[in-house]
Amino acid sequence: MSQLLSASAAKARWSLAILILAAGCYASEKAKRLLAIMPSGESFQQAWSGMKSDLGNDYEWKTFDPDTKNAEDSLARLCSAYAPRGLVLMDNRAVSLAKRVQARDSAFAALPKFVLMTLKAEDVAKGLRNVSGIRFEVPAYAIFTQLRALSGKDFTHIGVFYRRNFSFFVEDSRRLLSREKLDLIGKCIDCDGDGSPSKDEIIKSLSKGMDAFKEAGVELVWMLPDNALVNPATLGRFWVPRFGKGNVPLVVPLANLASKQANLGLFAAYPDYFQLGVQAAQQVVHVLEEEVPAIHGFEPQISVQTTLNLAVAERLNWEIRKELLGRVGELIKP
Amino acid sequence: MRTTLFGMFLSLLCEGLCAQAPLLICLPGGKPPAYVDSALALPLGPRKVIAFVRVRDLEDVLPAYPKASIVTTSAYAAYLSGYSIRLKGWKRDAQSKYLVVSADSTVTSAGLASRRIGILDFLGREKIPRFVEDAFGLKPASLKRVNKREDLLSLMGMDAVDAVIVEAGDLPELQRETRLRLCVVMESKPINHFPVLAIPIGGDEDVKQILLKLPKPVLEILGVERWE
Repeated sequence: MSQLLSASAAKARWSLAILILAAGCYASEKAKRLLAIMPSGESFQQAWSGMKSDLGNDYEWKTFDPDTKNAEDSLARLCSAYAPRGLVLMDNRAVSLAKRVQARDSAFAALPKFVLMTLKAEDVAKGLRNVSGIRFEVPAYAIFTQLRALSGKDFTHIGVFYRRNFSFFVEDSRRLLSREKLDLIGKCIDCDGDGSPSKDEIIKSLSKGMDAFKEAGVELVWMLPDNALVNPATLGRFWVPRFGKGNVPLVVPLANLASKQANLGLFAAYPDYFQLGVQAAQQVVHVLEEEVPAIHGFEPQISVQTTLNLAVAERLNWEIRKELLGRVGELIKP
Repeated sequence: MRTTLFGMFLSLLCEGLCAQAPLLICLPGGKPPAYVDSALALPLGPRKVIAFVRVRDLEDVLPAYPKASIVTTSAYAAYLSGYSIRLKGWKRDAQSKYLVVSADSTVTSAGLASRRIGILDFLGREKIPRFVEDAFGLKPASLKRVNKREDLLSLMGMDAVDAVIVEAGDLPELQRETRLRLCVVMESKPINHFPVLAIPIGGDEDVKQILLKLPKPVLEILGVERWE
């Protein structure tokens, strides 16, 4: 009798163990995990919040700082223990770390990867396997359709200064803006000569470019977020003297350049990090949950954050449609 | 002693007022939350106003405020259970159609199921596909949601989608803002399209009276001409 009891107890224990094992397997198959490789910083956190907020409770997630000591080993270990279904790579450091780990770990290489907040993302991500992402450059299309809607002005000629490493972006912007009957007139600052002009040469070139813009009928100028073209020297000797009191509107890439103190930019457009995360979450779901997993490729950033300086608008005699002011993220009142 | 009792009375009164459930406002595509918060703060007195632009954000706080009344779209209110509609916000286009609009002449109604479509996210990730299926009888290959009305044009103009869904009343503004040649590819069945006040069982009924007395400029912020 006792033998029978112990046999049935043993059976029960085995059944329980099998059940637990099966439940565990089921749970791990069901767990949808994401690992985000992201440096510390507010903008990264905002993007990550947007992403988590859109994914809700459907995913579990962990983050990993690419600046961790022995990052390659730690990341490889974390990936094998956590078994994420996809990797979110924010910033060049994350992409470069992922490339190094991919070279030594085939399971890591096979994971779908999503590149965010990286300029020239497609170029930087070259060599990474299974990669999709969102371009970080703020799209001219969004900037100028929004400004045109806000102002109701039918401007058509936009000038932009750029360096040759931004040519790809200016060309793409020109193509998209032409669909809106907007003509982007570019002036390359370093295309002639040895490609590394001094500060004085840059300022000279910017000033000459303005003359060319005038001849071409440019109605407003778009400043790109390029440190070589926008720095204390160029601000003091070119941008502020030209646009701080002139009659040509300037569209800037940073909110503080459209602030009351700066009294420079009419309109600023810059990334909306939270919405970027929301957009990325949709890409993750699309790639990871399609019946046949597909590589999505790179898509433009859709949502931008804006600042409008009404004092500058007044100085330029630009009337702004009051009914659309609610669209502007930050309004600088006169 | 008297001072202590008065103090207790004051603190109880304050507790009572502070414990009052907030009014939650979620009108996706409407005015930014900070704008709505500041416009309603004064008329609502001690009641807190919390405005959202996304349904997801509203749903995140709902468990914390089970007694809170909600001003939201009639479309979203249709999915709320345990609430009753106490006010309907009257506006000219109260019943409207949604339209599938495209700038690509190769997009046809017959082929929409294989297309990427953009939409303003006024219902949240789970409910939007149900809405599209219900309104158009359509399950597109990919549905891209945005949280700002102006982003619909960016989606379409930058080829991130083949078409967008807009409320019929928003089409003239969209046409005004673009030089793309837009075509209406499909129309939905008529859909209720107005803000409502939804009050939970045992919720704060006084909010209804306060909303009825709101001045016109504040009503406009909520997209309402008058309450019924």
